[in-house]
Amino acid sequence: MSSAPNGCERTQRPCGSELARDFSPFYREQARSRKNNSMPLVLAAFALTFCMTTAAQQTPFPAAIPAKEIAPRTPPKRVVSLSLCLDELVIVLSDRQHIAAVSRLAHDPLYSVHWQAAQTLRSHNGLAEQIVALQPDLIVGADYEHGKAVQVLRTLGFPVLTFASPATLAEIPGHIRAVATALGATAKAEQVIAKLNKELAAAQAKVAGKPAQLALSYAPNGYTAGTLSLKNELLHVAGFVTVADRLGRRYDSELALEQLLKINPDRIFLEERSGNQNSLAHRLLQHPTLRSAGFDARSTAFPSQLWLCPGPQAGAAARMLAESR
Amino acid sequence: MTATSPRWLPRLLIAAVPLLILLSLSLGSVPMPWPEVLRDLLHQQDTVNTLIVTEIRLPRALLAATVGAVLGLSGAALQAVFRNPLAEPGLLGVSSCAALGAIVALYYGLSELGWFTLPAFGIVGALISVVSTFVLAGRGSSVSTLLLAGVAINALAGSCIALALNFAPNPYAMSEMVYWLLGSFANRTLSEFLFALPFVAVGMTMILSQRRFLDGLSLGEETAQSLGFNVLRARAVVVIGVAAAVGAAVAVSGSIGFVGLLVPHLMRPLVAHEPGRLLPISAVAGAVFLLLADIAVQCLSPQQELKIGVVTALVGAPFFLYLIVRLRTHAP
Repeated sequence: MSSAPNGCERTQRPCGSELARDFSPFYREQARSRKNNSMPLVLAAFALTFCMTTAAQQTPFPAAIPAKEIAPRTPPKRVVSLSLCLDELVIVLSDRQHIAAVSRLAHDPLYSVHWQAAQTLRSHNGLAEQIVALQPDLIVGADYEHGKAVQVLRTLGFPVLTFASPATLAEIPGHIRAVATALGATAKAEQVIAKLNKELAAAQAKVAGKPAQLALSYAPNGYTAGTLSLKNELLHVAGFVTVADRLGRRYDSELALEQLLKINPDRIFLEERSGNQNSLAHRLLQHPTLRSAGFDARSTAFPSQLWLCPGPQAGAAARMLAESR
Repeated sequence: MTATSPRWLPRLLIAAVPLLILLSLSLGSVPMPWPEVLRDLLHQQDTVNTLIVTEIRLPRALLAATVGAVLGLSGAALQAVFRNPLAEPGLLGVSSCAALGAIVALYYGLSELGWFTLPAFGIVGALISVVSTFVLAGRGSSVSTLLLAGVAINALAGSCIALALNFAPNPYAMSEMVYWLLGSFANRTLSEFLFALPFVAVGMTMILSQRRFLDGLSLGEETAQSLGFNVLRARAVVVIGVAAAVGAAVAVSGSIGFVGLLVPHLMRPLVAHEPGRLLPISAVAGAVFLLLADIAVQCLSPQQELKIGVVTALVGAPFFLYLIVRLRTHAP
């Protein structure tokens, strides 16, 4: 996060590249190719012990920073998470008093599922010095975080755990379990997973037998989710065929207005239609042609935070999509 | 220096504008069954195809032509007013200051107050830059003073644009800097074109009304005065006209460079170097140039669109270099 080149951590708003890194299918693809599907639980536990032992072995770097002495297997008491998707999981799984800080995006009502719960939590902007000052006993992040902050934190002897981001719905339970193991919240994880599975099954049952409809996810700048995306999979769960399926677009890509009109989807799920709309990217979603062509009645503003991150909220996303049928 | 230019060339340019608009209407990311579309258009039937033509492609073509005309005309007018071959909305920082004004209006929610705020802020920005260029470089200044003033204003406007976009409360603002610095006609709406049109029309009329003055000014300030022109007033009319037209154009298309530099220089030999005659032909040629550039953009990268400033700079920058070389060899 700290390696974001445009200094966006210092601004008071979510940052484009940060978002792109969190959610772009490219990164997810990378994550997937690196992922070892066998026994993520064991691996995570191993990684945890490994990190903690290396942390314990490390000589205290400057005298001001005390060496971490964490007994393995006791749940961490001061957790810091580095990115939005892990913020959301930490908020769901951990006791509030054990969360030292979440990333700033967690406070954003547009992108964060638990933004209300996060308001009372401390937030950090991804800079190592802020995180060090919090004296965390566990730092969790996504595995694409190779930024300077992670390196510095590791050098200083802080235990940093990174997790591969799930690219599919099927990978979400394993991801939740892996994070929960690190947080010492395995019982809570099973509840969350059971609820997720129930919601997904309910959504599928609700649309069973209904004819497939053609759906389009349409984000600012005219982006539509690719076939490899979680959004596409969720739309399938809700009984939709997507424009990306039809065009064979694997990754998120722009769909020109002209093409949208020609393809004539049955439903359009507009993203980020709440909050600040003052940009050219947002203005595209209000292009007068969409109204003239009669798409207003077929468009729904879909809360982006429900399908931005692979997590328990996928259940709510599936339910909402299925209810829109 | 002789006026032996072909007489048919201006006519050809005028004829090219509607033809290029038609060509631009036929380009896009989906193919058009034209006989069908024409029939539907004649019978005023709204189909997907007619919507694509009238609400997506038409605003784009009209904007390209209008903005091209504004930039060509403004370039010619500024070169005459400053009596300087390098004066141009882009180089003087008029375009970037107009973009700054539009950015403040758009990203900080002021454009919600009314349709006129976006072009109005663009015009205010443009006006500030022209006036400060006058103050900094003075009239009849040397090429280098004017350019230095332009560099300074451009640099200041550029960093203010970055600042304004960086602190804008919208996550997409920063990535849209490219649009404001290089310009684009993609996904514009007919209403945006109509918002800009009155300002552009008034600005262009103001500039064209001072044709005789600019002719007189080319003989020197004293001569112009002795010919009965109120130099101060006439110059103010031209400058405000430029600010109005460029400000409104940039507010709906971003700043597009080099048109105002390239077009008047290409047209000058055709009109025997008379500034008054140069104005209308530069407007027409500017429209042709930007229509061609926009068609090139659509042909070169139909999926992920190039910004139009890339194309104009690719053509304009080498010309700029040529101009410098020529200035050096002609220097006393």
